[in-house]
Amino acid sequence: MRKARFLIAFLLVLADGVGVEAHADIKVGNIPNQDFGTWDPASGSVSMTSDFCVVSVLGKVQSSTIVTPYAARVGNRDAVPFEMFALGPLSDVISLTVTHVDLVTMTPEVLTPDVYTAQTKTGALNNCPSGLNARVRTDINVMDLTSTPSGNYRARLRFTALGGDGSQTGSKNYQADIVIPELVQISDMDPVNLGTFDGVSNLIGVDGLCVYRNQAAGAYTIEGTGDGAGNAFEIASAGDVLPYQVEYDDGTGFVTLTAGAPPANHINADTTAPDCGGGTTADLRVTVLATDMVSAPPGTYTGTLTLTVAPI
Amino acid sequence: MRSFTGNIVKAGFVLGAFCFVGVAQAATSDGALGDPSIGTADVQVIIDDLVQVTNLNGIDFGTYGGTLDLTGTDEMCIYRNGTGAYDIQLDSANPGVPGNEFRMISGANFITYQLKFDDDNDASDGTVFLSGDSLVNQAGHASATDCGSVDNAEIEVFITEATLQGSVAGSYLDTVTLTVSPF
Repeated sequence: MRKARFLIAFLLVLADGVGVEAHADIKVGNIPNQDFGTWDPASGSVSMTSDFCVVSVLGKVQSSTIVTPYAARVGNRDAVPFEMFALGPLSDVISLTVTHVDLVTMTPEVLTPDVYTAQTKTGALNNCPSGLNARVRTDINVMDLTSTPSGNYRARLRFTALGGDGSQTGSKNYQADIVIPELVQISDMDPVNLGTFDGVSNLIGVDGLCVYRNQAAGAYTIEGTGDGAGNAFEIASAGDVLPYQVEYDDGTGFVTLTAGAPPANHINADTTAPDCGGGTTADLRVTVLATDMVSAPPGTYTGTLTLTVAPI
Repeated sequence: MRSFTGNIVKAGFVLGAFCFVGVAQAATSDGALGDPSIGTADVQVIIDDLVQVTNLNGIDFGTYGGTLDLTGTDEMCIYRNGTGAYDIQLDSANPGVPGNEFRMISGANFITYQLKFDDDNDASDGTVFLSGDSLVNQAGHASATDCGSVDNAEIEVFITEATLQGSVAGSYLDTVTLTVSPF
């Protein structure tokens, strides 16, 4: 038995020694992890790349001087799709696009999970003496980020190169991480044009708003400020001012917002779509009292109401 | 003895004039996705020139006793937003032709009377009007449509004894229309 093992080993060494080039070898170098950090909504879609070396040669990795093309494949070690998974109890995911770039020809190719490309990628000699020859790029579309609950997300990926006659493979694992911060958005703001005072009635305007919160409870705070003195809710015309009242309803009933008061807690934000699916989650009501308007000089009174929403 | 009744009914008007052009608004904006998110909305109200005359009452002289002049007054509230300044025009429903005197009528008969107006509570020293006359830049209440429950203008109707004694018996009536507009 020991003789048989020795004979096989000898034959393999002999084959290398006489340069039997039909043998191919593949070695994938370390692939740097892709840490996106904490996503900033202002940055929109995000992308990270990792450059590395794919040795694909005829003969042995250590000694060959003949490169041979390889096929590339990336798989998700946790599921078939290219997705980041929330760390912890959440089951939310973020879709990814993974692209292989042949750095020699600068040819990108979007990958399908667990599916090899054609065997056309440019291989390299051992240790990539001419420079790294492969890149994996991970793209995350902003649309997939804006609607994702806050939390830490990770994709555990595995790159595999296939070379030679299609039986030699080499692989390396890498991972991509991103943090989705606590986010909120107020939208669907419209001008509150209350019209013309008839001399008798209060003027009241209601505007539906969309408040989005990337957290399941949908909780947030809101603070209202006007542009009058001390942030008072006031509209003005040529130096004359009129006070107005602001009320806010998150679906649980109107409550008065007091200018400059500490932010008040609210609920029922949309937790799935920043645009609330085209709907609204809250109502803003602005009232100017007739008793104030009768004592005001004629004019067009305008002002700006600012609503500041924050996550809790 | 001839007897008659004089009666004046007055009408007031609320007038509004659209004098203002809409102001361009550009501050309304949605908040960005973030922490925090800040949205803004323009708020606008238009207040036109407004006037109102209220608290008008009829002046009923009752039955003439046969002697003496007759004098009747009525106080009213005139509101004008802003400056308080208004114009006023007084019209008789039965003006004299061609003199435009104020007249009460009873069938084909009439009694000519004098009408005064003043933008305070004493019209005895006010301005004498013929029907259709107007007065500009009068002082109204600028902050309360009810003038704070204190009237601020008055009309006075005066009929001379001679006119009354020379009239045909009957019930005489005129309607005075007060047209108030922003100065």
